[in-house]
Amino acid sequence: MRKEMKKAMALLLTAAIGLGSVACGGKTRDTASGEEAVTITIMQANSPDKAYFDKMGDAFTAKHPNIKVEVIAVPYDNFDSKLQTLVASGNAPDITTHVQAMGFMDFYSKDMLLDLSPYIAESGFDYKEAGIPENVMESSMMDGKIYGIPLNTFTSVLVYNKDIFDAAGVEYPPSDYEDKSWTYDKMVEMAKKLTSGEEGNKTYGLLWNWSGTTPAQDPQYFGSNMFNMDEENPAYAKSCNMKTTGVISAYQKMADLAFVEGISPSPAIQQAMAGTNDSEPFLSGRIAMAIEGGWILNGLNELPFKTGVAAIPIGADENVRDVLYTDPYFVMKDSKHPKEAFEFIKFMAGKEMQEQMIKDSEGNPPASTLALGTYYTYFEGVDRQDLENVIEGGLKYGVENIGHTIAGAGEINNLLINELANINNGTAQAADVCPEVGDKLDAVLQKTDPSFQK
Amino acid sequence: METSAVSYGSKKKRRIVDAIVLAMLTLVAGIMCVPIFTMLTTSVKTTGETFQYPPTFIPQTFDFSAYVRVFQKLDLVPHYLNSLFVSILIVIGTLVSSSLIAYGFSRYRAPGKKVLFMLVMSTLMIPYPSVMIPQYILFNKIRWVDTYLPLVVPAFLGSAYMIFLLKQFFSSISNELFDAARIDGCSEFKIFYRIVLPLSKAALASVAIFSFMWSWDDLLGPVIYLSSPEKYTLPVLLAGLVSKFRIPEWNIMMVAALYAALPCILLFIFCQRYFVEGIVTSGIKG
Repeated sequence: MRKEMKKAMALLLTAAIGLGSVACGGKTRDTASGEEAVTITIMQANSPDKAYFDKMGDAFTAKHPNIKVEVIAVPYDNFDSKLQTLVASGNAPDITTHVQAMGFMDFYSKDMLLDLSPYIAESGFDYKEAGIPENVMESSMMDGKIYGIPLNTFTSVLVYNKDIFDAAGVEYPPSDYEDKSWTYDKMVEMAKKLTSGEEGNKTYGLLWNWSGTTPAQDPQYFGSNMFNMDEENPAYAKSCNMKTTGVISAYQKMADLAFVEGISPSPAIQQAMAGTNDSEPFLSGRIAMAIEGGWILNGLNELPFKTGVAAIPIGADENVRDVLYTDPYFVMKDSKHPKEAFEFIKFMAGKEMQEQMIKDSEGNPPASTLALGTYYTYFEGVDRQDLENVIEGGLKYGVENIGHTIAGAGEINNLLINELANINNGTAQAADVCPEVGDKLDAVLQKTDPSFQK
Repeated sequence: METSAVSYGSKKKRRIVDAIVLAMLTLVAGIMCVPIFTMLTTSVKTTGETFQYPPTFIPQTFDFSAYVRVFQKLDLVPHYLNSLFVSILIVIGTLVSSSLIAYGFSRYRAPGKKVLFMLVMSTLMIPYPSVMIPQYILFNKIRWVDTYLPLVVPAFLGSAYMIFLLKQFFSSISNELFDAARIDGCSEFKIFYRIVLPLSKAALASVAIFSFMWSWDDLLGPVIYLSSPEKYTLPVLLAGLVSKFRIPEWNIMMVAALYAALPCILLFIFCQRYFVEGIVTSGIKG
């Protein structure tokens, strides 16, 4: 028995020593170049589309040998928890971007970000020269101060299944955003012609996923804004317009696509087609047209049917055609190496690295228009001219994703997804549901906006 | 005659009840097996077929390439070892600490014991997110962040749920056994080590299974405490396969999930023997 105990103790001790040695393995600082070596950390999603940051870091270190880049890769669903934990404990990464529910306005309103304006002025970085459009840049600016540099801008796109169009003998939709005859009603008419078959084995004409999964944004396409922003503090909204006829009819119109027009799959069918990923129903080959975030382009080459891209039609406001999903990179306020961190972001925003990023990320769009030429030719199965039309038009007529422009977007989003489910499932009318949801949403807005707590 | 007719009737009735119960259990077992079946079939589907709607239950073509491709796509082996290292230590820690604490609570009298036990139990009601940041700050101060220590060391300090489970089991062991051991001159620790533990194999197996499965599946803990990719455990690696911005390769994900589920399945099969054994050996009421 003693032998057994000794064995057990030896095992435990070995394990403890092993753990201890892991604990002691801290960072070493290389001072070979004479200057003190600095390690900057960038916190990023641990997903295939962001795996290129290691290469970016190596390329940067090759040019700046005294700055090492360490990537903290965190799973998408745990990103905000980890970031908040790190910030609360004074261990904030030097650089991050918005990944999960927390967007620019959340970071800004929680005073987590460093004003980059002085660093930009000092380094002579000019975002216009770097090819970043004004409306894209605005997504990370407040009161004239710049808090982040956009490195990716996804537009939303209309993708279509050419095989379904060919079989139905319907002409492909146009890719030119200046074609004013391409309207929402025309798209619905087209979708009716493309819908065929019986439930269970049906081909649907349209999947309208204009806002991604941000229901607060949907009414914008139909001419109504959801929020009345707080003029004193534009990170917050004072109240919502949920009870207005504009918003109510927008939600009803979208639900009717499935339950009145019969041209769209219901949420249940979408779920069955998609699993858990929002962009997948189109991949089933049962949907003729789908409005999705630009990331859907990435998988088009692998599909067993021919695909095309087209402009999103004109809705109520001809200047609000699609949603932009801009990813600005921020330097955190607690960064110990803000100058070096900004230098890395600036490096990634350059034309050369933006082009490299398209290849290394397997098709993420650049924020710099200078690198768009490379992006247009990246997707073999997609017509180059059509893609160019769609991206240029999308950038011109796009509005930034609402999740990035209001504080507390995560909570707002969860509330709306849950509360609007009955409308989307066809079990309730928007006119019956929206007034009550409006009260709940107003309560959330008032809880979030500090001006109500004064 | 009448009695035998009644017994025949009740036998028949029991058979019918048994058949119904069996049918229901088979149905439930069947439902429970659907995810495993889907995991297996999806793993051998081609990527194109995984997106097909309506989905196919039996793959049209059997493509086993995902079983190899998963190793090209993911650095599976080192992360598997990381997970095994952490989970095994957590199991050892939980077994050692929880059994000792539970034994104390079940066999000894002490002032304030009930209050102390209530305090231990009340920790079950604290949700992890509420202690996440304070705990992180603590481990950060003692420079344990980005090591396995914050994941493993707490297991060596006892787990309230396991303490409860073991305490209930230890309390059911007959007092006569302890008296007999003491008369024979057995020390208190020897009673615990030579008598109580061997009798508690069933409960200990449950504790081992639970703590292994919880630590094997744990995503949030490793995500919060580990920052170096080479230290990531398997769930962190697998979570990286899912991206909102990429079309997922379901077949590869299912293969990875199958590999990940393997230790839990093996552990359960292995420990099932102890469950049965535990039931036999604890039948000492006689």
